[in-house]
Amino acid sequence: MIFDILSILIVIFAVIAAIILIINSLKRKKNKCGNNNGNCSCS
Amino acid sequence: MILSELNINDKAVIVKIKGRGAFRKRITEMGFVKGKIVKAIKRAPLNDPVVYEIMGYEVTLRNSEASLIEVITETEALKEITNTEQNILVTEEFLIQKASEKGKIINVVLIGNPNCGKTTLFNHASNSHEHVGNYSGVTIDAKSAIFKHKGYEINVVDLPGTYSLSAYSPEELYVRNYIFDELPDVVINVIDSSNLERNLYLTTQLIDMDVKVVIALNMFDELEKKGDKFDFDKFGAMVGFPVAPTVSSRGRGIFNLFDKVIELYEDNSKIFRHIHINYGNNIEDNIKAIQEKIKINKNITDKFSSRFLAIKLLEKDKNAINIIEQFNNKEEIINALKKRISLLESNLDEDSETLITDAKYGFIAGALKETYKDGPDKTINKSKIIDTFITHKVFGFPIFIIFMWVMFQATFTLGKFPMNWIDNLVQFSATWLNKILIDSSLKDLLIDGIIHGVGGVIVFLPNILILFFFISLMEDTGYLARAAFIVDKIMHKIGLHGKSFIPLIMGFGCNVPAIMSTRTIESRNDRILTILINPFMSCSARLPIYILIIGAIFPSHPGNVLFLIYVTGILIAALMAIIFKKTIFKAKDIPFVMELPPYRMPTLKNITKHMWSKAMQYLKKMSGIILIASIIIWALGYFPRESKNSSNYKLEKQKLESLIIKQNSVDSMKNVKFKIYEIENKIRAEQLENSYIGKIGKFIEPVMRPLGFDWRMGISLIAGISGKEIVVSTLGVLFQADNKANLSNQTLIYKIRETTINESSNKKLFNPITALSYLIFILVYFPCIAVIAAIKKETGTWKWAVFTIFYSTTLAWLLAFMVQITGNFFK
Repeated sequence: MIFDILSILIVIFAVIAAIILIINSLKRKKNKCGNNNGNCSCS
Repeated sequence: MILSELNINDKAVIVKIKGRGAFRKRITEMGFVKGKIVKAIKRAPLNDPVVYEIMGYEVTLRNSEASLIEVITETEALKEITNTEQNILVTEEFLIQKASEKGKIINVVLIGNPNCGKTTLFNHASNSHEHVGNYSGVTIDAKSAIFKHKGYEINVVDLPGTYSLSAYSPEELYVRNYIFDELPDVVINVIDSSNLERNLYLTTQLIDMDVKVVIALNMFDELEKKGDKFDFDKFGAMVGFPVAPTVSSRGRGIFNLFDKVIELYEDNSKIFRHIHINYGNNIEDNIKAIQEKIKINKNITDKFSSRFLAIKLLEKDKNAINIIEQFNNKEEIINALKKRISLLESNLDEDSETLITDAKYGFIAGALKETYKDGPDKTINKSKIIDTFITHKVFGFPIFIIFMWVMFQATFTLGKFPMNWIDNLVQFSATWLNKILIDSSLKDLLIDGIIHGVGGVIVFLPNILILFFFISLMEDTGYLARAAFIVDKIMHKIGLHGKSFIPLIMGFGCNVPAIMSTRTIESRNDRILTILINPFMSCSARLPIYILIIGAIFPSHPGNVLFLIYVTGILIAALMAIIFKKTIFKAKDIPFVMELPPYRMPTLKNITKHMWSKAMQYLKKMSGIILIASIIIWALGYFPRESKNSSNYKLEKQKLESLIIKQNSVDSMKNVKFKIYEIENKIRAEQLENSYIGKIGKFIEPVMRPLGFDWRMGISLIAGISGKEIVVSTLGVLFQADNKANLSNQTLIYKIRETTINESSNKKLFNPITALSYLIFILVYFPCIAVIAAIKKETGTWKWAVFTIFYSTTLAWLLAFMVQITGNFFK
């Protein structure tokens, strides 16, 4: 039983991680390099 | 912060004065120097200008001027207080001290021709590991790093290579705008010492721009080896820029270079002065006339040199014309410009741009005549000897084909051994976990989801490294540029330039940097065309799928089939290029020069670094996106657990299990055990088909059926949208779950080979025709999401990204269908 719950928790974590990855990749695209004294933080 | 942001009645200390020339001089004379306290007194009714108090008197500055002065306020200083300074009061002395610390941050940019060693210098100076290669256009974006030198914090930015600062190609414009927008404190102009004349053209433009420059005479050892003599100190004095010889591949002279950077930053350089290149009376008169009209717009000329802008306008530079669009007297300037250009051209019977270029080269020739002497020993150029074979009219092409063939053969044959070791390790860990864990969904997740998903992909690491070894070899020796030269004629036939070939070959590594490297192509049409066909170059993420399927279905000639798949990709790309050129991109070609860098011995350090960074990237993907995708795919295939007949099967299984103990003979016991296996398989098969992923697979199966693909193959293709490696991990999860008794604990290759269409049939799912159409589909269909994002970014519109998704997937389906029909016809 504990193992089953653990596996479901891992799956939930994976789904959350996937959502975060997608959001991050979208955010990165929006981030534009401004005038920050040459310290360009965008890739 | 910048002075224009300072609130009324707030005090701050000056950290740095940006801007250039006359503005800098004027502002310094007014008392705006580093370390002085300045206070904002009041703003004019429309917020501009602002009255400031400095050294006991009041000065009015416009916001555009104040924005070029960097200051530090009390609040900012408080934020920067270190642990040892906790109890210190923020006094004026403390503020001045903080300003002096902040003033020790120098923003430096590296500018130079492509392939002059900027990135190698950048890596050596900052201990970074950016990718370097012996061909033009390796650096395609600004890369920055921070390091300390003699108590100063140096923030160095490596910009893409450019031959000039005209608005001719995107990277030229990018570099020029970077200097204007970011206003770096010092520019390092990296020059290839073995090719001074051409490299110094860019220097002449930096002279016109009136920025602080230090020249790095890179690869100085090559000049010395030739026996040539260059009096660089005298040359530096002539052009007004300090010069430092460097050999960045060995780190020679870099320390001295940054010493000169600090000297220049602190205005202590004895050599630095602003000179004017003499363009001859005719041109000079016109420059001056235009310059006078530009100078009226003070807020712009504080940042840009009016002389540079005037020269660019006379060169008919489009971007310079855009800049004057914001001027109040723009019409006056444009009218004067038109008159001046026509007068100049009619007087000298030559295009104004050519006249200015000629004058620049005249300046370079003159400067070199006085400082440069060819060595007595003119040994035969090694590069020329190698080129007589490599780029030979007849042998050049076969040599190139042999090289490519060897690359793919080695990827397969050499990679086979380490691949087997890793595979055995994966299988061993699966068996071991199977033994030690009790039956639960966690055990299934660990074995079927994680180990078979991630393990299925990780086994291909050696193959990827071998491929990158060859790509790195091509890049570092300079062969990649030759390969582009060899195929130039063919590329012209399909409507492209040889230069487009480099991004295509780069595509074998990864399509994302390959698409970004199309920035070196000047013509926009050619760029978009190269971008559109780039995904047909099989990226390294697709390699694991090819190796898996080819290894399973075509084990007798794996290397040749792999080579054929890559060649097919190239042929499809060529065909699509011809079609696009005749339909969408009908514009005529713009001629441009292709650079042939000298051959260089690849260093083991660089190749290892390249392979290491690829291995790390690959492993990072394994522990990130592929792990996550494997878990999700497993869960979608594992749930829901209950299906229509599952309870009946379970009852049947329990009955059979109770029978085992009662059996008398070994044979009858084996018989019962086999029946249990059969029931287990039925449970698994039904459960998988009823799972969420099974339902999705069944939904798309009608589309995939004509291609000979079952629902699992369909699912793997959908999963591959996020990244092609996920195709293999999905196949790993889905085919391992189909744990037929006679297939248990076998490698994925074996399972792919042995899996049948359904339980009752003996017909293999992957026959050679289906395998080939699957490979073709993988080769052509939807490039991954990262590539789509790169296409959007590089073309600046979603139009081409969406177009790529649809045309590539439709084409993939049609080609795979054709393979099926043709294959079955000849069967």
